[in-house]
Amino acid sequence: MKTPNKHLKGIITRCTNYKESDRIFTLISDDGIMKFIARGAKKPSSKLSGHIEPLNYVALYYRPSKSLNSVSQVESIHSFLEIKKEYNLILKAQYMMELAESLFSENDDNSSILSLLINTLRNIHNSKIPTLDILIFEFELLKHQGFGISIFNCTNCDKELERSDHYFSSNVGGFCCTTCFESKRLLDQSIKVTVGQQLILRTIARKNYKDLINLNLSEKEINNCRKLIQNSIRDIIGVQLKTVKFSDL
Amino acid sequence: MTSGKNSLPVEVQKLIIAFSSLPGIGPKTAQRLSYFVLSQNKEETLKLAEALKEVKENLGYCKTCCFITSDKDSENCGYCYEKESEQICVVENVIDAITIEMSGIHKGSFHVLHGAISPMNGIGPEKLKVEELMKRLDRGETKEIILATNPTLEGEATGMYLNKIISENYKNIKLTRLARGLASGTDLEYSDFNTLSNAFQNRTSID
Repeated sequence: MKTPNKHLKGIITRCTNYKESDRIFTLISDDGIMKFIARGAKKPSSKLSGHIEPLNYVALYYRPSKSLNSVSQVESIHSFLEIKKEYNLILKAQYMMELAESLFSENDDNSSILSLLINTLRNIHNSKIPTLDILIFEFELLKHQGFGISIFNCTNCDKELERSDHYFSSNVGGFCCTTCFESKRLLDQSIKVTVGQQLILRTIARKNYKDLINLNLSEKEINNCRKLIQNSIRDIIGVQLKTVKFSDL
Repeated sequence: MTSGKNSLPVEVQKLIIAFSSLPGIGPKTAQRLSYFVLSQNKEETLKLAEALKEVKENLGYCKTCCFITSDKDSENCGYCYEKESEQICVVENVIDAITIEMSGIHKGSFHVLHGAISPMNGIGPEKLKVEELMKRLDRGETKEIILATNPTLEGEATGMYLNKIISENYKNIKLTRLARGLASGTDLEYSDFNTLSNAFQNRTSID
């Protein structure tokens, strides 16, 4: 008896050609990361061909299998055409997809991460500072996966941080006050964090995104904050993401 | 000679490993191919081995167009020497160049990039034959570049990158790319948004 078809929605992150005319692709969906095979998808006349592309949000029907799930129908819900028209946005989108892929949980509900990714991808082409959208995405993603950065209190003495320069270390998962840093020298690879950088991250943590626009932030300031987050991401994942070097950092 | 627990002779094991390094060949297919080689007569097998050896020893890539050539050391291969370099068609792979060449549509020369920009796989422009293309353009013979990268995300990104650097550095060179839209024999109802959008943007008047 044939297994009944299943339905799924998600974003295609990677595609590789397989054999004469098949394509194998990776989909991130509410159910986690899954690999599929689209038979004959490389043929120009295939009804699957145009839909199976990285950065497409698709709805698909597939037949579950012990090896690779075979798709029978795919329909694009959103193709993010505006992103696909700009080289820099493609690189940024690929970075976000790789990051989401690496932090997706296998057995948990991933729907909120997926909607976070889709919303960021939908907004990024209209954004005045796309790097800021990526920073918010990185920050929220880490927080959602339980790797949130402690930015209001010192990770060592737990005291509320005053308005001055502090230190950040990905090893302890957040900021450390100057007193703790100088007295204990706990943080080997700590980075000095300016008041301005703290303000950006705190505004993001409070979800006051409209206030961020009023701060007249420069790309440099945002990238400095992203470098802090990047340290955390590298420590959590254990490797450097391949797309990082292409995403302005 | 056989190895420990595995009853297969080492030579066969080596052959299986060699076959499974080929793209699209899994361990089972590699085994099947190895047994086929064993069952073949010696002459046929040596012919295959000789062909593989010759390909690696005698062939290389042209320093100008990056197409396959037997004149590894010369600057211009016979292929790009014969062709006019006023019009260069830039393709991702050798197979793409052969496909266009076989169609007889393109009379100019080719430039093979040997891949496409793919950040997810860690492939940036520096890993492609872009520098060789720029050297060709520096000669000042080229009037048009036809970007014939695949209509995939990676192909489009490569096309955009080349468009940016060529239009910035070589203002007199015309840049074109292959038309995007509906393919012959497809159904409109199964078309994706990208294809439809391209087809509408590049619609033509009926003469």
